[in-house]
Amino acid sequence: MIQVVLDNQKSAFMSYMPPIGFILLQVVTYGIQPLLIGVLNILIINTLYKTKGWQVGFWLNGIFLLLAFSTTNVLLQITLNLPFIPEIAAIDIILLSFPFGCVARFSNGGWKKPIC
Amino acid sequence: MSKFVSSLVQGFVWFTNKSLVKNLLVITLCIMFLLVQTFFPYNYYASASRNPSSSFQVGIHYVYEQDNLDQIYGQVARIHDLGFKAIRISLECNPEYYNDTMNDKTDEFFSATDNYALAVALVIQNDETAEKVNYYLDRWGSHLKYVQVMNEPESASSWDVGALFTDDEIISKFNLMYSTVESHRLPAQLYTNFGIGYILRSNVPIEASKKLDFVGFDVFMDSFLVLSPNFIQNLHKITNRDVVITEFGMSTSNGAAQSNFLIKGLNLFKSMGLKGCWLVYWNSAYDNYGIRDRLAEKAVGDWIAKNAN
Repeated sequence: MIQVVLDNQKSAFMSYMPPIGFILLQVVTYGIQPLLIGVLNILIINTLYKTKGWQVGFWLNGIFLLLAFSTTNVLLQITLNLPFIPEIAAIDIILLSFPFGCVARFSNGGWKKPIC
Repeated sequence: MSKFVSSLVQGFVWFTNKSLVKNLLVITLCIMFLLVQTFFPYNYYASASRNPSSSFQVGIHYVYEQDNLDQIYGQVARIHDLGFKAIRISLECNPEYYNDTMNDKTDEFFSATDNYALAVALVIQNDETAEKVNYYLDRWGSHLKYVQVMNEPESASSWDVGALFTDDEIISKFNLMYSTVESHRLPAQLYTNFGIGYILRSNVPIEASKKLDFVGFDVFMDSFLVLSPNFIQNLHKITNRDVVITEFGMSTSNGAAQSNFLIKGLNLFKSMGLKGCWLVYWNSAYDNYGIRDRLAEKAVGDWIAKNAN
């Protein structure tokens, strides 16, 4: 979802007082977006597995998931010669949700015992 | 066996569940993903021809103003015989004197390209005046298949070397040249070319492409060739126009290095499904870009015979 929104806003970002818009796009893509993904991931893990805290920092966890996701998409787009929307996005949702979930679970985790 | 595998998996999970190990693993994988995203597109397309049946136009920039009048016809014939389908030229003429040698050269050039049915792309440089462009298009416009409105405007110098055009200057200059060309109602396709600097001034291709039929991308160095699939895909994405490689060449005295670079690039661009690639240059008196009478001339000719249709 975030990827689709960012793709749609790319031209608007890049047209905004260049190169400030380009820099802002990079800040959002590689700064804010990973933070959000990282926070969301650990929240889901802690809720599902009844754990507390985190093993990997929010940003690092988020950038890892973002890179895993975008690398998979780049590989699919190039080898299958398909655009991201709608084909690759559909493959991501239908076929890769579970593997991405496993990767997200593997990439971070909480602790069973409370952290002192 | 399954017990062994199970304990192996459990051991792996236990080991990687340590915060330090997990952090290191995640950092390592991040670096790997970055490398894959950077280099995979080039390696994938360069490794084999992915689009053997696609049409691909190979062109070349001919600096005919550096040749003598009696050489030009023969040089165009030679370019045609090598298999090139398009010739790119700079706007060179003397509007003051009809029978100037430069105008005679241009007449001779177009007489040859008409005879050999070669498509001609005209480059209107950033410092050309509307009067000169009008004169040229009035006289030779009907011979043109493509017209390039400005040259790498994102990195062009304005009033002095190093002083880049401001956005307003670029867009107003572009609009002036565009309306000058459009007023002649030529059947030619319009395009503008960009170097990798467009990534920092993306508003220029985004704005300009609204009036263009396609956009050009220029590649001059090995490193840019490796990164070019990413830049080309991005340019296509932000402009929503087909991308043609409008300047592709290497200035080196090493003939083998130049030849290898050109063949690598031609393979890459054809594999990517691009419509064409125009080399720079056929001849160049002041640097080593020219391929005429060098190893690259035969290599490119052989490549065209095998791959371009």
